[in-house]
Amino acid sequence: MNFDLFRLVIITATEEGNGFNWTFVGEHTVNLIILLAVLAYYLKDPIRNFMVERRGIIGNEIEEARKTIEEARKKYQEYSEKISKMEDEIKSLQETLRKEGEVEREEIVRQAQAVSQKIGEEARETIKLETAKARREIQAEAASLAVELAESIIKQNLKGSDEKRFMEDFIKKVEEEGKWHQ
Amino acid sequence: MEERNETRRQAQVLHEEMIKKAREEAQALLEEAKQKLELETREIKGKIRSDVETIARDMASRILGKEV
Repeated sequence: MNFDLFRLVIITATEEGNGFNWTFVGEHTVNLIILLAVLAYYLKDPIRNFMVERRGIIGNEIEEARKTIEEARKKYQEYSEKISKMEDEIKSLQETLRKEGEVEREEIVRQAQAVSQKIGEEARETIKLETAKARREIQAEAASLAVELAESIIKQNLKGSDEKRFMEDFIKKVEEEGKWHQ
Repeated sequence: MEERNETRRQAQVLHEEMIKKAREEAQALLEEAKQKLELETREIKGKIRSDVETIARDMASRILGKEV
């Protein structure tokens, strides 16, 4: 704007004569200086006040901005610490859960080992019982077979004299039994 | 929590595998013992036939009071 005003003065000064009109320029320059001096005289205090007030406002704004930045920095620090603590807590919780999982796993495996051992013991006990049963069956079969065979042999070798001797032995035993009871 | 569930699931799988293996081993042991018992029973029965005859003769001799 100042440049335009200056150019207007130059053009006007040039149009009024063939050469450059220094008088015209000088007059207007003086007028301008006087105008500026008057303006400076009357506007000095308001401008100063305005500037002081403006400086105060800007200072306050800067101070508030500084406080806001400081608070934001504190908040950032606070939240960073909280996040860090939360991360630590999450890690701790994960570790606790992992350990609990391991304990549970070991317990499940221990139970499985106990059940497996019991199954093995039951199988061995079953084998033992079956072996004893087979032994009893063999003994019973052998005894039965021996009695049958002995009966057959006796029948084959039994004679009249043997029957008489059996009768005498039987009577003798009955008599002895009678004596005992008396 | 997912990790723990995974650990639990793996442990359950291991548990079932161990039980299954124990049952299979027990079943194999029983089958083997059964076959062995049957074989030994047959062998013993074959062996005691001669002993039974001796015992029967001994019993008959004692009862009859003479050698048969």
